Parts: sequence; structure tokens; C-alpha cells
Amino acid sequence: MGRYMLSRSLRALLTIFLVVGFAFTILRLSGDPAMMILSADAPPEAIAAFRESWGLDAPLWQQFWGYLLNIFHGNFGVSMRDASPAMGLVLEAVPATLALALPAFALNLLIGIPAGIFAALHRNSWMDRVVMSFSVAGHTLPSFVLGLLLVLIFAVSLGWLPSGGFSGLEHAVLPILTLTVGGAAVLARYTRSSMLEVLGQPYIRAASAKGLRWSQVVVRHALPNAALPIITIAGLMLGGLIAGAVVVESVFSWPGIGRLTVSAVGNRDLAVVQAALLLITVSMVATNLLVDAIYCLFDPRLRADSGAHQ
Amino acid sequence: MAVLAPSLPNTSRHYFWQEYPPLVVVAIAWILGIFIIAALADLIAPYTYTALDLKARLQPPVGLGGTTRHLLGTDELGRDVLSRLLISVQVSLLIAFASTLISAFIGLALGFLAAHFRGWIEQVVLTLIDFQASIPFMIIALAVLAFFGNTLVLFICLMGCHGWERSARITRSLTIAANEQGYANAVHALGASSWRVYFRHILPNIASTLIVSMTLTFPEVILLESGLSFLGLGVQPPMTSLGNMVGYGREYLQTAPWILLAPSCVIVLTTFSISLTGDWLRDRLDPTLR
Amino acid sequence: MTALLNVKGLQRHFFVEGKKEWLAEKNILRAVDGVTLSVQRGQTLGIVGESGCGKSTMAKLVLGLIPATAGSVEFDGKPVTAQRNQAWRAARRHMQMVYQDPLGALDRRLTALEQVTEPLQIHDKHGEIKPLVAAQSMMRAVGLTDNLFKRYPHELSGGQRQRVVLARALVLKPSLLVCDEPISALDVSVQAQVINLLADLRQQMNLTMLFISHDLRVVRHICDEVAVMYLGRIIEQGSAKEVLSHPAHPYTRALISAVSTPGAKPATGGSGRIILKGEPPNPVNIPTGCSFHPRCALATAHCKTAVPVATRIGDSHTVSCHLHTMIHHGASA
Repeated sequence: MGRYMLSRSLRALLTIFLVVGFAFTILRLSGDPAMMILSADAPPEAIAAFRESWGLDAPLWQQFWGYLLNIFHGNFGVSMRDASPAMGLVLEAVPATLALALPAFALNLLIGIPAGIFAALHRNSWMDRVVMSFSVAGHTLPSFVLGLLLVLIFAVSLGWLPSGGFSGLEHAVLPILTLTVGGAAVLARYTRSSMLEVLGQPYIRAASAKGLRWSQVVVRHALPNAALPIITIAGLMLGGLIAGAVVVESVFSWPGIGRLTVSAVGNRDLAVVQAALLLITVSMVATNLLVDAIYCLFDPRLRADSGAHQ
Repeated sequence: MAVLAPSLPNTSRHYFWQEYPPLVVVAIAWILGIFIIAALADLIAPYTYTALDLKARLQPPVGLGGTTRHLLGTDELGRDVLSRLLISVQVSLLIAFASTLISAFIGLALGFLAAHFRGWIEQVVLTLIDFQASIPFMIIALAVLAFFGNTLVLFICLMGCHGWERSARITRSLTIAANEQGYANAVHALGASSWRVYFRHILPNIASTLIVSMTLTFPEVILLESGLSFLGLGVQPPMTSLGNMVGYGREYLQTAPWILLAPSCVIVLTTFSISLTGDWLRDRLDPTLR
Repeated sequence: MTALLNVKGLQRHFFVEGKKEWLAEKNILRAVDGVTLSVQRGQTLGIVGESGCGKSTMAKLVLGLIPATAGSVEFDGKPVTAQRNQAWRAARRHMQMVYQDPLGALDRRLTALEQVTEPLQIHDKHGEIKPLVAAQSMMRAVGLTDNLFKRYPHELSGGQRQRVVLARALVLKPSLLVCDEPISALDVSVQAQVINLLADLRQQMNLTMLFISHDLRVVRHICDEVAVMYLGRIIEQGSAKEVLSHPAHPYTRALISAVSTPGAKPATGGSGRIILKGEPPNPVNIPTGCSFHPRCALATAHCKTAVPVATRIGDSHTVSCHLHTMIHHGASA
């Protein structure tokens, strides 16, 4: 286990390093960072000071090092709009996004996994078809279309829920619902195929031949084995949630990281974009690492370090 | 999603519907229709997509109070929604097609390199694959768009960077498997050069798997591009794309919902059809791939 | 007359990861551990042994498909390397291989005729030999009827597939054919046909063959000489008739006793079926001294410490066993 986690952690660090390198590269490639991160009409002394603090006149590797140091101190520059520190703006927006993402994630698990198990246990029956149809629909429906449809139905036509804004619990219902549908669909599908694969294994037949009730077979043998790929998928879904949040927050004018990033991109507010990029990436990598650790705990093959090589 | 019919007399018609479930047939028909529209959009659009007609703004579609002059109504500047829709289909499909090809090409090249050379080259490719797979592409796309702007060529190249890791993974593992035993080894032992082995033997054998993977990437690019265009970051005016139209129609959600409903329907039906067909293709070509 | 194939002191080691520790010393798997043999033109040498004794590795080493860790392979006076360059590819015209799994060895997308035509396309781009004609005549020579030419591998039976592999290997008229368990994957009823086919073709084309198998009966039928391998070393070698009727090494005796037909007089003289004690050891941990001593009923203390050398005990019959060395030296003393 230790060896596996070590290699996974190294990979995670490498990914973060690559993202930082990526951010640095596109920053340098796209023009003069000083002009872009400050603003066009910043006073020349400010530009000179910026250049110095970011080491823009130094050789490239030194610039990168300076960049790393700045990032480490959380200094991403200031936002174009209101000259407040970029990282601060980004961090402020995090709770709003979490308020959507976490309930959506929980709902994904609560709806998607049971639906998938149910479909697998009643394979090829009409119930299976219904669940799978919903799953495909949820998977192919883009989140912005779904969001707008929900607004059209529930806000415009029926008037039950507000169409946007941030000032109350009812404002969160539609965004969370939008986020949930896509993720639950994917999860249901993967859960179903994982369960089907496990149910087709000889040891399941052996277990029921032993005389166990079918429900016991499912709970004691099928589910734990099917759980592993599901954990992986659930971990991957977090990335999908974040990507989805970008669009959903814009549809519902929800002041989270997604909407902040989109408007920053639109305004070419590069400081904020950089900060958001790095924050999102680091949290995703950290979450994936956590999922890896959980996976490791569950999979007996990985726990015993019997030379199983990654 | 094959429809299992109960046992019927073994007529050829029954066999046909079993081989090609009705839903899949409809999906394929839709796809073909969309492709034809994309090809002929310029010819069949009743108006040019930029033609303003300020006297006929926000007209509803025919059947909901509109006239047959504008079958799907008009938008806030009097532009014919149907024409814009047809051109949008063309633009969106073009982008999706080009990007899928670019992505498949990148994946194929890197997969082959990794499988052929092994060693540190393979490690580099694997790290890149990992990197691409662990960051949601939307975030990377946003960063690139912020820093580089979004001319059409750049945008297509950016979309082409989506999904290559899938093709690369498939290519690499299938090539390694083929190289380690079996026919690739045998053809090498016949004296064939590596180029010959890869392009005349391995590539055709993995083509079906790759094509199925491309049917996954294609709708994803459509969704990605629509999403970005919806946010105003993708295809820029005066060009129009499906996501673009939805984005612009959003302001008129209450007053003129048809502006965004038409492109939304097209997006949904197209991605649904392609996904369905891709699933069916995958089941047919290699049931073990599910 | 110099031998067509000359192998001297051939070794091939693989590194295997140690089990527990991170930085453990890698263990060495000695797949082939010092093999010396030669094959004369037109002769067929059989290599027999249990699974895991290194036979298939020998096949690949001889053809230069994998590099050797030590030792040399000479084909027609020229060294065989594993470097896949132009020269290596050109040399393929003269040495080819028949595989254990005919379905895996064929590209499932190509028809039988296309598979057999391919070597001609690779090596004879100027079209001196008419590829289609040559391929078709070769396919007929291996017993495939015309209606099978356009079939795909999965549409052919196991025996037919192996014939396609054979035709593909022989269409360029190589001088050396290496057969790696060519009939193990076939139905018993078909095995005899394919072996007879091999024997016929060998005669017609004056082939030199290296025939690798674990089946002594087949080896007895088709091979002129035989070498017995155990844990990467040749422990007995000689003419097939001699070795198989008068086996010297205890291991060979055990092998032969396992295939003797019931009722026939055991070649080993009297005792009947010999059962070896113990398990075949791990090629990563080769026993000291004579590698067979843990399973040998006649092992002495000397066998545990010293590696036996090949002793000539007959006309072309050599054996690596201390018992025979002692007998021999004892006799000549």
C-alpha cells in the first residue's frame, strides 16, 4: 500500500507541476505578462515594479522559479476589474460552488448508484430499459440546455422557482438539479455495467449454489466487488461536476468559481484565470489522490505489497 | 441497447429489425440528415443567416402564430431562425469533425510512439495521458481561450486536444498486445519493416476500436463547443453555431423561447443519435468492449 | 561439411523483480543457460523438454528474434544478431518459423492467399517471382484446396490454419525452418497429417529443421537428432533412434517411460513407469551442481556440488550426468 500511494502521490505532484508549467507557458506565450496582468494604463513605475517582482527580465528558468515562488505565496496578481488580489477573489467564490457541488455529488451517489444496481438486477426488463433511457438522456443532454429547460418549465411557465440569483435556498434547487442529472446518469450507467460484470462471474453462481438467498448473494458478494470501479468513477465525476459548474453557474447567475472564471476569460482578466486554474487543478488532483487512497483500502490486491507493479 | 424481440417466424424482415433495432435506425437516419444539412446548408437556407429584417423581429414559428415566411420564427434582429439553424449545424459539425480527426490523429501518433519505443518515451506519453485525463478539459480550454483569444483555427485546434488520451490509450495497449504475440510478431519475423507492420497490419486491426472511440469524442466535442459558445467564449459573431444561438436566445427565454429551443433540440437529438449509434456499433464490433 | 546452424554457449537471462523489498537485487531467470549444438544441412534436430525448460526461448534466439545474453549463433557461417536492421530483415528469406498458435500468428483481416503472398511482397518487390502464382502453388503443396484460398483465418480449421502458416513460412524457400510446438494446439486426428506434411516438404525442399516439442512420439517420428533440455541446459543429445531407445540420463528415462505404450517392453529396461519426485524447480533458483539432482533417484553427494559436463557415450550420443561420467571414466581407467 505504501508503495502504491507513494507512486500515486508522485504522479499527483507531477501533474500539479505540469499544470503550473502549462500556466506559465501560456502566460509567456501570449504576450507581455506585465501588460496583461496589470492593465494597459497602469503607470510605468507599476509595470517596472511588476517586472522586477516577477523577474520578467531575467533568463527563462529564473522567471519560472520566480513564478513558482510567487504562486507559493499566493500572489497571482490582481484582478483587472477592481485591483483586488486574484486569489482572494477566487477563494471567495469557492463556498458558493461548494454549495452546489457537494449536494449534487451526494445526490449523484444516492440516485445514480441505486438506479444502476436496480437496472443490473432486473436486466433487460422494462425497468432496466427505463433507467437506461433516462441515463442516456441525462448523459447526452448538455447541462446548459437542461438548465434552461428547467428554468423554462419551473420558473417561467409554472413560476414555482426563481430563475437565478443567490438569495435563498430555493435559488439553489434548479442548479443542483441540473448538476445532478448528468452525473447521476453516468454513474447509473457505470454502476449497471460494473454490477453486470460481477454478476456474470462464476463465484456468484457458486455463492447462490451454496444456498444463499439472492439478496444475500448480492449484498455480500456482488456489491463489494462491484464497488471498486464505482469508486473510481465517482472520483472522476468530481471533475465532471466542476466542469459542469462552470456552465450551470453561468446559466443561473450563481456567484461561484465557474461564473467567475467565465467572466474573467471573457474580460481577459488573466490573473483571475490563472488563480482559478491552479486552485481547481490542485483541488482536483488532491481529490483524485484521496479516491486512490480509498480505492487502495478497498482493494485487497493492492494492499498486500506483493510486488504488484504499477 | 438492442431490442430483443420475442420469437417470431424467421422472416427476413424480422431479422432486419433484430440486427438493426428501430431506435438505431432512426438515430442513423437523423445523423445522415444532419450531415446532409451540414453539407448543403448554404443551398437550402431560405435566407442568409445575417439578413436583418427589423420589421419582423421576434416572430414566432409557423403554427404558433407566425407566417410561413419564417418557418421557425425570427430572432431579436429579425434574422430567420431556420436559416441560422442550418448554418449553425454546418459550423458546429465542421468544428466537431475537424477536432475529432485531429484528436484521433494525435492519439494514434502518440500511442504508436509509446508502444513502439517503450522506455522513457512511453513514460512521457503516459504522463501526458494522465495529465489530460485528470484535469477536466473545460478548465484547460478556458485557460487557453483566455490567454490566446479564440480565432476559429485556434478554437478547432483547441477542441482537437480533447479526447486524444482515449485514442492514445487504446492505440498503445492494442499495439503492445499485438506486438507481444501473434500476427505482428509473425509479420516482423517475415522480414517486414516496422512501418509495414504498423500501417498494413496493426492499424487496420485497431481501426474499429478507434472508430468507436471517435464516435464518443464527436458528440463530446459538439457539447463542449456548444457549451463554450453558449458562454460567449467559443464561436464568435458574426459566425453562428448551435451553442451560440442558445446563448443569444437566452435573453429571450420568456418572450421568444423558440430562438433557443430550436438549436437546443438539434444539439440534443444529434448527440443522442451519435451516442446511441456508437453504443450499438461497439456492441456489434466487439461485445467484450462494453 | 559445415553445419548450417551452429550454436555455442548460448545464454539468455531475464531479470525478474524481487518480491518483497523495494531495492531488492533483481533475480535472474536463466531461460537458456549455456547451450551448444549444431544442425547439419538437411537434418532435423528435435529439442524436447518440459514446459518452462527454455525450448521456445531457444527458438527465438536461434532466429535472432530476441538477443542473447551470451554465446553465439551462426547460420550458414554468418553470425545471427537480434538487431532489426536491413541485414536482419534480408536474412529472413533463409530462416523462418512455424508457431504454436496458428490463429494468433495470422492477421485475422487477411485471407489465406494474402497471408501467403505477403512475404513475396516484402522481399521481392521487383516481382521476379510472380507472387500470386508462387503463393498458390505453395498453398497447394501444403494441401490446401483452391476453395480455401479466399477464406479468412477464423473460417478455417486448426489444421488448415497451420498449413497456411507453413505455406507462408516456406513460400520464399528458406533453408532453415524452426517449428515451435507446431502441432500442440491441433486436434489429435489432425496432428499426424501435419507431421507427415512436414516430413514430405522437408524432403522436397531439402529443409533443415529445428523441431521443438514436448511430445516424444512426434520427435521420434520426424527428427534425425534430438537434444533434451532441462532448466535451460542440454542434458542429453544424440541421434533420435539412439537417445530414444537407449536413454542415458535419468531425466530422459523418465520422459520416455511416460510415453511408452502399455504392453511394450519398457525402453528403460524392467522397471516400467518412472515417476520423478518433487516439482519442477523455479528457473530463477536453479539448484547447485547438476540441476536435476533434487528429483533424481540416483543422485549422489557429488551431483549436488559439481555441474556435469557433456560426456560422449556413443557414436554421436552425449550426456551430462555424473553417473555416466564416472562409468565412462571408470570403464576407461
